[in-house]
Amino acid sequence: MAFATQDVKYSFVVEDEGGTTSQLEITVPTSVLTNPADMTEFGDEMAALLDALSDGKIEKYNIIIGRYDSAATAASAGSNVEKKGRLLISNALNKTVRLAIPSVLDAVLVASGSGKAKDINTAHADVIALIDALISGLTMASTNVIAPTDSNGQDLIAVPEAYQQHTRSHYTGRRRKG
Amino acid sequence: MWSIESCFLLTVFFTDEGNSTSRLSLYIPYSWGWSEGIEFADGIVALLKDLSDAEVDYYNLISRRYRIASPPAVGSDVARCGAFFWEDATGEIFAGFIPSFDEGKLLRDGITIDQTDIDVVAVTAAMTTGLTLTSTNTIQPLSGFNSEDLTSLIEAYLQYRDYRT
Repeated sequence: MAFATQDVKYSFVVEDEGGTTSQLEITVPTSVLTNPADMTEFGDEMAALLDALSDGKIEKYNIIIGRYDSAATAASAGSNVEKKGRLLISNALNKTVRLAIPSVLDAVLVASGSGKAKDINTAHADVIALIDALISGLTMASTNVIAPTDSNGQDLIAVPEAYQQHTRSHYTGRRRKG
Repeated sequence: MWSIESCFLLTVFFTDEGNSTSRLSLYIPYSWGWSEGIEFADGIVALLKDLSDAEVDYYNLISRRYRIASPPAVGSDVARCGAFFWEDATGEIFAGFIPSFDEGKLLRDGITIDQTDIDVVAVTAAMTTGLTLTSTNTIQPLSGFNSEDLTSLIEAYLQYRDYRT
């Protein structure tokens, strides 16, 4: 597996009087990543230029790094993204954050005590590795340790529940590169 | 004044045998910066792939910026777009659409965008020659999938589009 950055996009969100939003995307060279300060300065300046041509409101924009693996392993026969591995994760404020792994492997599932949906086997080495990364973080080449958070920046503390769950996948569109 | 949200949003895309797609999102503190944010993303995606039999060949890492802006003008409508057609270095035409285009930037025909308007000139210059930043680096936008420099504005006019999100 080798992901590589193939595009850097800016998505400017324009809102009109009725509260409807639309987005304008601008692609820039990946070389912009070499100087992160350039990335925000370019976005701020471009937003000002676009603002002068629109009577809508430009209140936010996103900088999107798209990374692709051209040699990714193809989906296995029988894979199904609606079959999810659901992790319930408690954060530092003891609130629950949900994470769902699409098309979870049968190999990491075990029969549940309730006799209904299967549980995720939290003693499986690959499950342990993921939970450890979510809670304790991953060590970077710099030796910094980075751990994910919830959307409010709160640390993730523990995974009290993990089980299989079928949920409809609402996401139908997909942008492919090449 | 623009501010940045405290977390990157990492979105990982999973595609199954039937080509249906689902995604998983995680947050990473922005304070780590882009370089380590990407390194972390590569690492966590590798762990997620070990738990799924779907194809995972794409993810994106998003930084979100926001500000308090003036309310939209009365009569603003994101379906009313300024359609700009740019030529890239290979001669391909690339279209860009500015939602809720200001009708004060149109010629008397009410359709054609006034390419001599100072604000239109500024956007055209930014798109075709780039913006020179404090670092002295110049960043120039590219055409969509071609990833080529945009060289000139070919045509610009008002167009109504069902282009809402």
